[in-house]
Amino acid sequence: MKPWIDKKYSQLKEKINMPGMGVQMMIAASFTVVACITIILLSLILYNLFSDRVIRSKTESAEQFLNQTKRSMEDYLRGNRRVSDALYYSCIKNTDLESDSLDESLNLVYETNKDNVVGIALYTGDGILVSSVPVAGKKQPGEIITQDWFTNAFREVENLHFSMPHVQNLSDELPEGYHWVISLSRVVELNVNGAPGQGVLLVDIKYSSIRQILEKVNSDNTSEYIYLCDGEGNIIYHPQQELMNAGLYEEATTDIAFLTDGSYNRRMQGEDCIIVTKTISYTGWKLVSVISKNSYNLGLYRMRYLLVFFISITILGILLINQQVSRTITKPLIKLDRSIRDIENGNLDPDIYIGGPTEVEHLGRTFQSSVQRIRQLMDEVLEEQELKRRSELDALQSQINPHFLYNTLDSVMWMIEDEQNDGAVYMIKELAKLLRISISRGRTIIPVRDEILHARSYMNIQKIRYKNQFTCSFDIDDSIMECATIKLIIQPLLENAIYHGVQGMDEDGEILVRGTREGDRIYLDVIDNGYGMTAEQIEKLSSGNKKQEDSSAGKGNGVGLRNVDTRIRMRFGEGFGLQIESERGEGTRMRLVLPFVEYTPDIEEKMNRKQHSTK
Amino acid sequence: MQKRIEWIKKSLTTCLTACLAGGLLFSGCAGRGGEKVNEIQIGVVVYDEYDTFISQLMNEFMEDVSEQIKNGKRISVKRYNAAGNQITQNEQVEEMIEKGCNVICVNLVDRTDPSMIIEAARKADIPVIFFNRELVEKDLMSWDKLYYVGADAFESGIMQGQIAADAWFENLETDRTLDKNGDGCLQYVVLEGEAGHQDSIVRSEYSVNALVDAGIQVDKCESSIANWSRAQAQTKMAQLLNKYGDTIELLLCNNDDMALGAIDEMKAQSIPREKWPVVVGIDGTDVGLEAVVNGDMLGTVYNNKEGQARAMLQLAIYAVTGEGYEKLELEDGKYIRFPYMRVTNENIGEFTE
Amino acid sequence: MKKQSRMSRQYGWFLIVSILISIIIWAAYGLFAEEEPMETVHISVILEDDGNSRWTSFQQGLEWAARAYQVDLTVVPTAGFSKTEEQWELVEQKVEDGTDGILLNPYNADGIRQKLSGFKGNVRILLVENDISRNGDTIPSVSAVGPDYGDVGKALFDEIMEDYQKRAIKQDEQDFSETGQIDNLLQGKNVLLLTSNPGKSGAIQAGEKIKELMEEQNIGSWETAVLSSQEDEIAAENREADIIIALDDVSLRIAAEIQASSTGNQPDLYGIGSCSDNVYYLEQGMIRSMIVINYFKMGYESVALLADTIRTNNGETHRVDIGFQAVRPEEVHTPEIEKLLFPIVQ
Repeated sequence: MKPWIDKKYSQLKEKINMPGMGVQMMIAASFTVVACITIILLSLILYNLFSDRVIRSKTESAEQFLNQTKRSMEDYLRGNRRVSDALYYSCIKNTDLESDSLDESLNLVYETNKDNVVGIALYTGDGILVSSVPVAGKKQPGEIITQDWFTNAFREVENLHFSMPHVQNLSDELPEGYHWVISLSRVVELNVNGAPGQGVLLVDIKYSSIRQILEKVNSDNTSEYIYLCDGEGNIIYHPQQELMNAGLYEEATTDIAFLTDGSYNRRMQGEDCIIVTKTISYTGWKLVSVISKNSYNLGLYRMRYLLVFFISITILGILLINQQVSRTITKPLIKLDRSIRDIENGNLDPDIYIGGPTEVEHLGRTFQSSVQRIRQLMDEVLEEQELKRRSELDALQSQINPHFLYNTLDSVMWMIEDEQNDGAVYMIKELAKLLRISISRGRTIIPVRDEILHARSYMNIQKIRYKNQFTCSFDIDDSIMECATIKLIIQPLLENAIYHGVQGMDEDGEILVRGTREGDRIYLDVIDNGYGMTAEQIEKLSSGNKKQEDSSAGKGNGVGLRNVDTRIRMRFGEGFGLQIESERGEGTRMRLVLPFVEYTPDIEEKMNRKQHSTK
Repeated sequence: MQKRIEWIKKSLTTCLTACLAGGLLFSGCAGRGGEKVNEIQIGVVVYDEYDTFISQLMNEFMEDVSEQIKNGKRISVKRYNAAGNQITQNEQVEEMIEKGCNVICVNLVDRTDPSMIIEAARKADIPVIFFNRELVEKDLMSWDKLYYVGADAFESGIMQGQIAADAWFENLETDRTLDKNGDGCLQYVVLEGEAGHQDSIVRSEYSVNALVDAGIQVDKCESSIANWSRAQAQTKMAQLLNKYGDTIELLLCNNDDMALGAIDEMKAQSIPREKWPVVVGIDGTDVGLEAVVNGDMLGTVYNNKEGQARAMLQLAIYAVTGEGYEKLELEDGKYIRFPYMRVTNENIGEFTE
Repeated sequence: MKKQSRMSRQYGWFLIVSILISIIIWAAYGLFAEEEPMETVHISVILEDDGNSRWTSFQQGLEWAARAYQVDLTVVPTAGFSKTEEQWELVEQKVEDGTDGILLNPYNADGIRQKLSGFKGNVRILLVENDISRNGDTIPSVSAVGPDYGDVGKALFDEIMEDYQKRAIKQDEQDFSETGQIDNLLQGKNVLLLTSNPGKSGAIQAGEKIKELMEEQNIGSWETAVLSSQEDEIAAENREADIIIALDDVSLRIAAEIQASSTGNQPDLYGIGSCSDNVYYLEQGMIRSMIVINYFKMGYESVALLADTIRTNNGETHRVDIGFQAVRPEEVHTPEIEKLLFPIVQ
């Protein structure tokens, strides 16, 4: 399992691990996630608070409502009790049944209360009818004493007893309608000719009055209703009681009736409900308010939909906005990245993006200057390489000066034709020496000794060719003989001395090659006593552009002084090179300044490495 | 990528707009099934369906309605019984209006309190035909779509008194059995319908006045309230007999049911016919007429229930469809009053077909 | 590789966005769409004499079901009918008016059956109280809601037997003797079966069942008669019967009225009934035992069934049996029976 997760994670990382894109995704994703989590948490909390509130307020309002209903119910029942009291205390107690009739007083009370009262009747303790209004009762005593209202009155002699709703028909006539009544009965003291007796006073109150009170508080809503039951759960009024009677509806009342007043959560008929109960005083009846979840759920369902709607739109909005925002942030980076890619792909002159936030702009600029610098450096390197190549090419070229060779061979040819064989042999020997050193097995660094030899050979040849128009002497310090030097630096000087110096001086020409050491430097001078050069001429010789170098073969200057100077500088550094001093008419001294370095066979390698590192 | 976002945003907006529009449409709609032809839906509420006169009046009415239905008229009737409770009646009227009745007939429980009913009907623009229990003129005039069908209570009282007076004078010339104690005074008892009821008051008063106007010396024993009820009247009669024995010479009852109740008691006590007081009722219900036929009652005053029922139906049809105005005879554009008729065993034959 | 992951990223993004959009649409719908209420259907009710008090509970049941099932109810005012055509005219009238269904209390089983066989159209008809069966087999193409009158007949018969048994035992106790004859209590008795309308299948069915049972028990003789109004009373009086069994509400009431107003030795009266007059007579003991049918439930179930039939529109027919209760005078005021016998009137 873990390796699989790891694999997937790394794949994911791969996908995301792109610059710019990665940053964009990261910004977008993290912001989105944080915002979403916040919104969802907030919404959930608010929703819970809201639904709690709804439930609580429903319960509170149900309780209040129930309180009001309880009060009106109690008022109503109290009113009826007063009727019974009035009858008892004002009428019955003071009437001697032997002599007086209660008919009139009962009638009066009935007429006053006939909106609520169906009938009033007074019976003796044996069930014999004393008086009844408005209709005379005809039931037999035997039937009376078995009636519930009768027996219950005796059960609680000091109290008034309210019965369950039932149908009353005390007269035996074809009734003008039967009446559903609640019988209010009490035991009364009768006065028969001074002798006390017990009796039962029955007041039948209209069930429809109670029904009306409760119907008013019930709307047509089947998810919120109030019903009335007695202390044991027998239903007195229920908005669906007709359905209950026909067995089409059920209400579980028994356990509720035994609860103390308050609000409860119950599950009824498969639904969660809030049940609020209130006991009606004196009778022990209970008013029960049932609020099923449906009634407030509609609001809550709406709320939920609203929340989901709101959350989804917000998330969508956030996603889209985040995309934009992160793009704005990362686009510069992406552009920059692209520019860099350009360079990677070889475009050396790319359009580098400068823009975006300050950091990115700074990056861009820096990068741009870096690229410029690189280009510059690359150009320099190229230049150097070019120079080096050229000078080495030149040096290579100078290793074999064709004119010189041709002339020398020509001279040898003449000598041979002249049968000056010794002279020819000598020339060829010197030529061979010169050529050997010129090549020096491809090395560019040779000991000074070899360079002097090369110079001597050259001069020997030239002396013969120029028929000893001049003399040449060498004065080299022994200490520098084993130093390292670049090859073919003296010969061009000698060449120059000959052509510009002593040529045409008629055996008075003198060239001196001197080598000295001063500290860590070596000086190789070529001094002649020729015509000398003007400052301009010196200038011309030492500066001279490339083109001039290339086409310098005409004068026999295959290499040129400039080349020598450059080579020395390039190899050894700026402090070294060629110095020319000359005075017109006096002579010229060309001085080569070289560092004092011992020649070793691997000197060239060392120097190369040093060169690279210093660069 | 950019393009895709644009596309998505656009489609999202379109979707949302479509949803909103659809939702608003939905919220307005509710399917209505069934077609209703131009039907006259009558709502009737009586003050107490066990009142004999009222129940017979309603029977006539329903028969008339069935006739009309057989003739092709579309009529439906919703019946309610207020069982003596004005609040119930008000609620029932509201229910009738809610259920789509286009005319209602109201037999007021409390004639002084029609305001809620008139209010509710006026708000719904539904004409009301009050019947049998009359409201005060001022209330009836408060709106032009209120009508009353009934009879003139004064008439019934006067006629009742006249029946008794005629009998008295006739008897004076024959066997003088009416004046039991021979004092030349007519000892009478009135059984009244209801406390404070206009018909009760008027009938009681005018019948006695008729006697006085005829020149008879009257002596009131008692007046008792029996709430129009036969059973209550029987009980009251028992009390009265207890109190007055056979000294009662005339029993004037505001309606036939109470008269019969009194007669029931006398029969139950097996009082011989000769000792009975003369009993006169008002209404002319079937049972009342029977009592006149077999001599239990001296006479009664016929309340034209057939005429009233027919008039109610015609008026209802007119109020809804505007047809049949010619058949109606409206007093002041609102009242249809039917005359009472004296019924004694002289003309009883006319009334019992 | 880059292209691939870019595409899959876009794909993922697109997926999320489309999920969100569908959630939004769903939520918007839930938020704005009101619960479409059930479409109201219109039902007409054609009873025989709708003012009769046995229909009070029935109409209450109708109205409760009308509220619960979104039904617009019309009860056609009727008095009595004298022939099938009269009732059928009302049916046609209501069909013309565009009613969706008719609850019909068939005046005459044969007549209505004939009319129904030729009846075409979309209006659904449901029979209440009585159906139109003959010899016990119902016509399958019409739904009906009502008691099984065969069972009713049997229950009535059982009541009579029990009543006689009780009386025999009481008699024995009084006489201090043992007749030892619990069976054949009804032997030698004359039984009169009454009905107010020979076209009503319910009364016929109950009567057949009782006759069947009486044969088994070897009861003496019986005869049937029609008692539909006070005029027939004279004819009834002339018959000598020990036991009168009234097989419907109207005949029971008239028989009880006759008994109430006459004196002398009265035959024992039993019957099927529900109206308030009959309840009174039962209470007074004039009716010794009465089978009371649960009219409230009948009203409720018939509207529920008819509304359902109209809405599902699949042509099935159903029969719903309605319960009934045998009630004796002393049981009238027990709480359960009171609820059945005395509907709480508005």
